[in-house]
Amino acid sequence: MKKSNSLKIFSTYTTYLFLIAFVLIPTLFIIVVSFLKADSLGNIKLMFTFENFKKLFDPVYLNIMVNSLKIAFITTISALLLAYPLAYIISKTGRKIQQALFMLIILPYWTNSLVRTYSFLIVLRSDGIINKLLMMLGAITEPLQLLYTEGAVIFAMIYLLLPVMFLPIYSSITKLDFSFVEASHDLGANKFQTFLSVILPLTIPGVMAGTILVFTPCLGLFFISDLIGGGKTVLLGNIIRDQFTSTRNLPFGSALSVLMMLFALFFIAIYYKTSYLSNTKTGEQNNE
Amino acid sequence: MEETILSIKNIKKTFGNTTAISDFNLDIKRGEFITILGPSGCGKTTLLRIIAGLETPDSGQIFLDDINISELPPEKRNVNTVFQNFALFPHMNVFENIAYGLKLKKFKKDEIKTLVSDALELVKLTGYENRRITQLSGGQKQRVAIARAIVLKPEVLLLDEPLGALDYKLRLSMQTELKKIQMTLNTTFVYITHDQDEALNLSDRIVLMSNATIEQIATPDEIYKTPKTLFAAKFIGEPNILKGLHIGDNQYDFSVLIQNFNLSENEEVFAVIRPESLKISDDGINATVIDQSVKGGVVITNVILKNGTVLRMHSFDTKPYAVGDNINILCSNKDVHYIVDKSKDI
Amino acid sequence: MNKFFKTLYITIILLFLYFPLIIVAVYSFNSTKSTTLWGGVTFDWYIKLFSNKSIISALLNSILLTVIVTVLSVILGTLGSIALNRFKTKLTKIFFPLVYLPVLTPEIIVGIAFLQIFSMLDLKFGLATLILSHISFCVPFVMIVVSARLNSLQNNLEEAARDLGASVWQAFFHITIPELLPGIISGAALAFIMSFDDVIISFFMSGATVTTLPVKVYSMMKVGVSPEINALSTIVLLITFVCVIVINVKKPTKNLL
Repeated sequence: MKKSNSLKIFSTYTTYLFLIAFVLIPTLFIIVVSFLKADSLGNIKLMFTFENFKKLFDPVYLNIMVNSLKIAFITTISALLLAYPLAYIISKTGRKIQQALFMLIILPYWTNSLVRTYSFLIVLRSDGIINKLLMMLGAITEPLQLLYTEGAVIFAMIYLLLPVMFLPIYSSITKLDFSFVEASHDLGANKFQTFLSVILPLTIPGVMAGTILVFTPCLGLFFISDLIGGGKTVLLGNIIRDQFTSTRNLPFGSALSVLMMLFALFFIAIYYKTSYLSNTKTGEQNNE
Repeated sequence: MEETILSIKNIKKTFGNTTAISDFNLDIKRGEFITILGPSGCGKTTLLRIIAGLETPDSGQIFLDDINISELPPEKRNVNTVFQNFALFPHMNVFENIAYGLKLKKFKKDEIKTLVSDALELVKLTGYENRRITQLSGGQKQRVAIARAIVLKPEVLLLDEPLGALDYKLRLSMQTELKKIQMTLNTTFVYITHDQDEALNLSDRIVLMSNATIEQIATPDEIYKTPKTLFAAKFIGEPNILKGLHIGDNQYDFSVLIQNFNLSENEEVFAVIRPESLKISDDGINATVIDQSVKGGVVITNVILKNGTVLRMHSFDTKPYAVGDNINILCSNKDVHYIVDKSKDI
Repeated sequence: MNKFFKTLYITIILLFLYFPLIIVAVYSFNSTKSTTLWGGVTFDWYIKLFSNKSIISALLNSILLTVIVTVLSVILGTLGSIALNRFKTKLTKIFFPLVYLPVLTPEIIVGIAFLQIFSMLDLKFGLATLILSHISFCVPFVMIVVSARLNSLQNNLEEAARDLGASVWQAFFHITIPELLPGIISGAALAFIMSFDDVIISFFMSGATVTTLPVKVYSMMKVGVSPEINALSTIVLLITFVCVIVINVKKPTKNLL
């Protein structure tokens, strides 16, 4: 065979070039800028500094970060607690119903997140349908202030990201080899013990993938905070955006982004560790 | 008559630090059914891929009809391959799979139709033209793979463990059919397998490989009766192999089974005794039966000699022995094959 | 858990997911401006919407952008999955993780990275910057979906084609592309929907004159709730629903992770 394969050369060069230009360089760019000084207009000055990272520990920003992390954490846990039983129940239904239900859960994932956020806003407004229903039922006399609270932001995030959490969990549950479960029952474990010792450990990679895909967006979804939180609940994403639009400090905005990337990396590292562990547990074999 | 069709000269191939093939030489005759036999990882598949042009050797040449084809891409070589996993195109039906090569060679539509139906007839799948690949059983996929390759009338057909994916019974019947197809077409077959029975049943000649090198090239009969190396002896069948012991006066003692065997001094020798060559005889030496079983009509008896050597004998004799029985066994000198193999130990 | 609770649980979740969307869709036909009081069916809001030039121009921009991004993403993504899975070089190990980086990086970071790079290069923000930034997150997804398909195929089909007389490119167009087609279609659907729906990255990439529909919707929403937005949201919902149902992207989404 001729050593030079034109398809190979063409496809590898295009791909490497793309990944360098569109993935590697933008990422490195952010990291580099985060170590540069800002001039009085907030633009980049070619001088090395740690100042942007020191500024992260300013109590104003520290508070926002802690609050943003707290919201992300509550959202992720809630989404997990809702999605796991859902995925488990759906995986146990018959083929046709299962396909239909899977489609129904996943469909919102494909729909515009902004539109979904807006629909949530419509429902929660003080003259929205929830308040009207509650008043009709006589549960309340005055409309409740549902919007512009931290709770509403968290609810909206769960609403938006539930399908994202569901997808990998469902996938790992359906991939589960149920002979393990049968073996566990056979060895005398009850349903709960089997769940804790067999099903849960083997579906951890799915849980972790869902956690990654939910947690980091929670830090960045600035439009939820704008529309549902009324700007009162500030997320990491909001202050990053402000550094590039209103407040203007590009290097500091980059430092905040690096911080966000580190959060993402932290979860990805855990993901690799847990998926490695569960792979060795199921005894995955390498082919020759 | 004995014209060479494919000549492989000094082929070498390494992958990183592992040598897949080291200095391989072989001449294959026209119309020959040649089997490359060896354990997995011995380099036999790599060799086949080099002949097909799917792998580039580090050095060496391949001649097809005295023309050097080493530099030609696979599509320019008049050899075709039956792949181990069949590699049938799932988006095409049976007809389209078989016709693919003919279309590339710009055959006319009606010619293609005739050639495909001839090929299907040969593999006994007439009427399967419009089946989807996913609707076929393993054996049928195998037949389509063969038809797809032979329809191009290659000078040499390469078969990479073609029966490996089939179950035992199907494998046996496909062996017979393959041999028939080869006789009908009179095409040269280069057949790869790790299964010694397949090799012994089908081949005109066997190339036995281990660790990237050729152990022996011989007919099935020769390789069975007169293996050249210890590896060859052990790979084919389950022979008794005894190491010769020096007992002075240039005499080697194979547990007094064989007498008057002359060897030059200090030479070590292995005696290969096929289990069926051991006979019960009053002139023989004394041995104790340690177990006995019957497999496929053959009585397998394991005995132990006074010096502790365990021997295995096959017979059609139904006389049962109890464990612990004493019998006398003998092997005639002509049935003992000697190997001088300094490189290896038992 | 008995069957009743299981059914109840699924029903509540589905209600949670769909109730707000249904409300928006239903009230987009309401003749009063309220989202609670029903005043009768009307198509006025839709008519009003289609007479708004800036919305129509945003919609056309979005469609043009999405089509270009989808085509480019499919070409680059398919080539990429072949390059990374079939033509392994010493560099493959280094480049492979880069495919997953955009999938896991929060969108806002991608947005600001390109914002800074493009302003440094002095590019005019508009369709070109939108296309480039959208490609950066769509191509990796296509690569992942097509790779999943590629890895489910026997790895020597191209070799078999070569063996039967096909050249490298003949094998590519006769065998590889048709075999990858289901993956390519799913990848295209994914790229289409992601590009069409994107708010965050487009927010940073839109120029003074060129904006996308979601960015336009966002600026309208920030002003306040209005029946036109209900109508617009319903149209956007409909476009995605139809896309998803037509192409039926069940399987590739499972392969995504």
